[in-house]
Amino acid sequence: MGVSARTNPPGAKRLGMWLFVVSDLLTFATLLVVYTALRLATPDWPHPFTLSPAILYATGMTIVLLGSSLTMVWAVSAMEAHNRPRTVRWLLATIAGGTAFIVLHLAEWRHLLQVDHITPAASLFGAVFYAVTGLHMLHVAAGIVYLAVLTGGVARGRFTAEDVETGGLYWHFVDLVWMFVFPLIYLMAVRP
Amino acid sequence: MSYVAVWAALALLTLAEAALAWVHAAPALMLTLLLALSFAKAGLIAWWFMHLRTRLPKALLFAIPMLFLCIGLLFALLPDGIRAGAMR
Repeated sequence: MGVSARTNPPGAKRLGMWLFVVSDLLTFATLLVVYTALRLATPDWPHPFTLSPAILYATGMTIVLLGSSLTMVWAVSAMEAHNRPRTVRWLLATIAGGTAFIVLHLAEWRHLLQVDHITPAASLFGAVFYAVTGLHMLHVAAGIVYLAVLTGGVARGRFTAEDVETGGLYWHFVDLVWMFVFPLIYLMAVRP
Repeated sequence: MSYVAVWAALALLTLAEAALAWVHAAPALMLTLLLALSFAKAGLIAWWFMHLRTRLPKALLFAIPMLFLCIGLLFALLPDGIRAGAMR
C-alpha cells in the first residue's frame, strides 16, 4: 500500500520547508560572509554602480520583490479563509512579481555585460556578483515554478492551507536573502 | 500590524539603505549600518510574513543551533579574508 501525502502529520511539510530554508540560508551566508571579508580586505575594490540609474534600478527591483512577498502573504490568508479563487489570484500576482524581478535582473545583467563590460571572468567582483545574484535568481526561478504548480493545484481543488503556507515560506526566504544581497553587493560597490 | 504596514516599513528601510549610498562612509561603518538595516528587514519578514511570531518556540529549536553554525563559519572564514589583503 502506498504512502499517501495525507498520512503526514499536521505541520510536517512546514517543518520540512523550515529545515530546507535554514540549510539553504547557510549556503547564502557562506557566500556573503566570504564576499564581505574579501570586500573589506581589498582597498581598491571596484565601484561599478552609479547612484542613478544603477542603485535606483536595484532599489526598484527590491521593492518589486517585496511586493511579491505581500501578495504571497495575502494568498496564504485567502487559503486559510477557504477562498480558493482569491488564493489563485494572489498566487498569480506573486508569480507576476517574481517574473518581473527576473526580467529586471536580466536586463541589468545585460547592461553590465555589454555596456560596462563587467564579466564573471574579468574581476573578482564580477565573479562574486554573478555567482551570488545568479544563485539568487535561480532560487526565484525555482520559486516561480513551485508557485505555478501550487496555483494549478489550488485551482483544481487540491492542496491545503499548509501547502500554500509552505510555498510562502520558500518565497519569503528568497525575499529575505535579497535583503542581504542588495546592500552587501550593490550598496557596498557604489561609485563615490 | 497589518501586512501592508510591514511592507511599507520594509520599503522605507530599503530606501534608507539606498540613501546611505549617498553618504559614502568608510567601508566598515557603511557595512555596520547596512547590516543593521538588513537584519531589521529580515526580522520583519521572518516575524510577520513567515509567521515566526506564532511559531517561535519550535523555530528556536532549529534556529539556535544554526546560529552557532553561522557564527562558527564567520570565525572559520574571517582569517582567509584578512589574509586576502596580504596575498594581492
